Amino acid sequence: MEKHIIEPTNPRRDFLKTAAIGVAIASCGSALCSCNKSNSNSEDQVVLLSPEGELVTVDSSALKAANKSHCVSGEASRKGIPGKKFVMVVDLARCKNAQKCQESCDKNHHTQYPKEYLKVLKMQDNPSASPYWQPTMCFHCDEPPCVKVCPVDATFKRDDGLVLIDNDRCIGCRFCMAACPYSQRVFNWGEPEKIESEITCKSPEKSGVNTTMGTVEKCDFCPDMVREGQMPHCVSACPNGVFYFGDENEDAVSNGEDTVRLSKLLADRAGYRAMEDLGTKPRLYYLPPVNRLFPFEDAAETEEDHSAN
Amino acid sequence: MDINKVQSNEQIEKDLMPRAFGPYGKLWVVFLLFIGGIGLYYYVQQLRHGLVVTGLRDYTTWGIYIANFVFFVAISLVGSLMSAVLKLTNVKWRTPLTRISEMIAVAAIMFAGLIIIVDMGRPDRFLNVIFHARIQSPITWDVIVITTYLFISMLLLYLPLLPDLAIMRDRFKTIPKWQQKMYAFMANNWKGTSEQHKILNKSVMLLSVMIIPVAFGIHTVTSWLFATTLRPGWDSTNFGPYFISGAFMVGAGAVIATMFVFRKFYGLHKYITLDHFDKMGRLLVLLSLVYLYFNVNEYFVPAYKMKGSESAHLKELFTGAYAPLFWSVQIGGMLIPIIVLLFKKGRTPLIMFVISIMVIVGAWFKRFLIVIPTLHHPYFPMDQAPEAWSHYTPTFAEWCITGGSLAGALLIVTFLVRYFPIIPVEETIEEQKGGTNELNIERGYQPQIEKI
Amino acid sequence: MYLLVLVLCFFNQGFAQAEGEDQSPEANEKLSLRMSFDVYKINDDYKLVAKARVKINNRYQFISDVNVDFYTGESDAQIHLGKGVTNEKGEASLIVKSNQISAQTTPYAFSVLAQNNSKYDDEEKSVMVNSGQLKMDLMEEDSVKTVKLFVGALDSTGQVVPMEDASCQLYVKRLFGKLPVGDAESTDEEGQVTFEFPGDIPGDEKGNITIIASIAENEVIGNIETNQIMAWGQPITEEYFFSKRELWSARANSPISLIIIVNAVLIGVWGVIFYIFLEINRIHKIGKIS
Repeated sequence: MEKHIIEPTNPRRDFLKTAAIGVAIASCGSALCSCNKSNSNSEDQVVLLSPEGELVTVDSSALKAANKSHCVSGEASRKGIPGKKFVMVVDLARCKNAQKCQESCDKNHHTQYPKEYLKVLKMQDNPSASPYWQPTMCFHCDEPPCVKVCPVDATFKRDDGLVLIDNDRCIGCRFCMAACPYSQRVFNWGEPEKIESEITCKSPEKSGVNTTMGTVEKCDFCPDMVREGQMPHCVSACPNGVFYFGDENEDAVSNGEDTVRLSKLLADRAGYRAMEDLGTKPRLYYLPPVNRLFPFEDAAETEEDHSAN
Repeated sequence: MDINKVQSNEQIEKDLMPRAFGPYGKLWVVFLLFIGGIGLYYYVQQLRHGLVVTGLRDYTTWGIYIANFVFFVAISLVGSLMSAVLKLTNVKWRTPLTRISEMIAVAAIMFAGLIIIVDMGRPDRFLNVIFHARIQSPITWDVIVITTYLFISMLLLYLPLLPDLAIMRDRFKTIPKWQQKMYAFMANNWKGTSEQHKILNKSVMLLSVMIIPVAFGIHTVTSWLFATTLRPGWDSTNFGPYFISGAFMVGAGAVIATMFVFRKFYGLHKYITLDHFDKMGRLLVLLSLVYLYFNVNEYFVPAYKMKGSESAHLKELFTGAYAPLFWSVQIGGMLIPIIVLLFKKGRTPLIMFVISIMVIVGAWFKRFLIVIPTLHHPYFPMDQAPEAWSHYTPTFAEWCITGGSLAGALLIVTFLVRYFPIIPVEETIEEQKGGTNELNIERGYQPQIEKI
Repeated sequence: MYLLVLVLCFFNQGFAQAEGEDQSPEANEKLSLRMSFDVYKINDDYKLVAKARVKINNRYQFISDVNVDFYTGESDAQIHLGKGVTNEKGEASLIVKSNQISAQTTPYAFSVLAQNNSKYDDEEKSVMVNSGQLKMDLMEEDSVKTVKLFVGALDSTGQVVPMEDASCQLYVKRLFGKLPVGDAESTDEEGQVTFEFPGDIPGDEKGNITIIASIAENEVIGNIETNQIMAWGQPITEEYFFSKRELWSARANSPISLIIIVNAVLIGVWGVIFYIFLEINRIHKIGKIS
């Protein structure tokens, strides 16, 4: 395909392509790292800015392969992405339980039912209120009760707001699971299925990859994606723009389509956090399910109607 | 002491010194080894396949291992009760019971530590608890306090044993060489000089004072494994005293059960008298009443409020799936013992043995009821999880491992009794020398008379 | 630097034609693919965005993993620019640098072709792009942060003609996407429009902020965008969780009070235990002497 490119062959591009097919994986990290700072079109998944200031293009599939070989572990994975404070807003008025978030999350973290990081719960606040769908995941609390109780520093709070787990450290006492009031942690009760993947690195940022028996897992806000300037999988997979994700320091969140000011969104739409009174200070806000986009429909209850059609 | 006829020293030594297992003893050991072996087999299975062999799943993440752990910790408090609380309050009739209590305490605390490792998903990483310890975690506190308690308990078992070890070293000439060497080593050059007695008494006194806060610590911290979480049913400020009072109650129950068994099989009627049963019965009533008081606080107050998050949990206990177990435990393991033991006729050995078994079994299932039902009522609905996850049925493997740990603890007690006197020999002789059954002065304060 | 871009969008992107053509898998193994194709001029570069979707169960759904090729030039002399694969939103895009198409003459022709996809029919879309101009000046007038925009279109002689009534929107660049600043405003007869830039938008540590001016779907000049970095944002003040001494901190940052209490208790209790061991040793020694 290089033949058809008008420009004299761009060495950086070729390099990345080569890296993408797995020949020269080791050193591409530096090139990929720069993109979250300088990629002017962050929703675009196939363009990167090289350190030389050139825009380069790779296949998005190839880019993913290259990303995954990039491994952040050790102290860097415990400190977090500098200058960021990640935050999520979930608009309950838009959720119709399409389950695309869950599918994408399962696929990308190599999990499967019933071990799932993301669950869409059927909620009803009181008998008179209409039920609604509530996607739940780790809320990455600012005062995380799970981290408090960990005896070995296996789960930790980072400067960028994320709460992650070091599966090489975890002793499997499951105290964090008992301590999480939101029941968002899952455990590898048996030997997890071997994942067919070229990824060999172990990192707290690679939740679900190279996971081991007898350790705890949970939603990690996809730090590997976020490091590349890309949205977490659930956010980009949602067809209805339910999930907004962004940096609280920038006071902006985006659902892929719209980017809005976080403070205004929460103020105008009466954003709330789950069980505020528990004092966990979640980094995930909900927008109440008022003026809904979809009427509530329980697929399990209406399955018969569908098959009749 | 209710020994009306003064026994000769030789008679006391003959009665109280350890002896080889009889046929029942051998059968008992084989039985315990068998149960322990099955537990060990299933633990190897668990090591190989993971905790998937248990009935635990997400949501119900803690099960009978943890309940058993709390039970062991509770039982272990008996050591501090009998040898420290009663010692410091100058209760004289405790003498023949202190040794049994300390043996139970040491065995229980050892298996408390073991069973918590059994519950770990990655026992191979146990040392992380030390090398990566976070002192913010109640588990770290528990590790510290259990280790400390184990050491103090062993010292409190060992130190008062010194004079008896010396007797065995000096008298037992027909026993195997290794045993002679063991006694000689453990006797630590004990000659019974007044200076040695002074050091010994001072050390025992010091340990007795110190073991009380440590014992409170061990069980309070264990209760904090639950009370420091935000879960309805565990989120209680009452948990520390609630656990400790329950522990003292089951500890007293365990002493009654063991003293009944040893009295019967070792013929210790002269040393463990009806009066002892009567006194222990009264003690058990007192401790049960304290426990009852904390139970009322623990269940009545939340039930009166019926807070939304608590109500599902409480209703399941009071009228739901766990109601039969809950009421059996509360009535059979607490109320009936109180009522029966209030009557003098209830405080006879056999009845008390039955009651103490009820107390012990009730206490074990009470720990089950404290640990498990709470986990079935998280704040968020469980409708995404498989239906089976909203219940918890321990698997056969889980029961076997738990049973194995109980058998292991009993095995330790059995072997301790096999090699060491179950009732302090020297102390009994000394008390007889005092010539009175109502010794009001702690022996440690009396000038010691050189003997042997 | 003047950016002369005139984008002529041929809005023939499949939405209109596609309706009603239902797919019968028996007749054709492959699903009929519908594509939309947009070109955005961003500073000097062109961003080509193709969106792929198919009709499944009477509803259009965006589909991922469609291989597309981007070309420039007229149909008889097309030059390959690059490849793309659609993501979960059905989107594939490519940035084309202006020097990559310098050999071409305006209006530029861009096209996207989806072919050789095992599951889908081939599909092609193209647009013609002409030169237009969007110029942004940032200045502080009486301590009011002011953004001045000029919008122009090229006439047939190549002269820049100010464009009236072009709707412009200001954005700031954020980690994920562009945050609109204020409302859209239209240019006057001189092709100019002035915005007041708010002072409460967070920037980076130095307050730097990327300000973007954008014209979207203009019927004459299409999509055009320009950006500039300016220290007009509020500098962020970092709050560090990691180094705080809290109950949820790492072991290296345990609260001092906790360290003191735990160690005091440890030393106290184990000091006594150690003392007892010494006493046991004393008993041993005394026994030796006697």
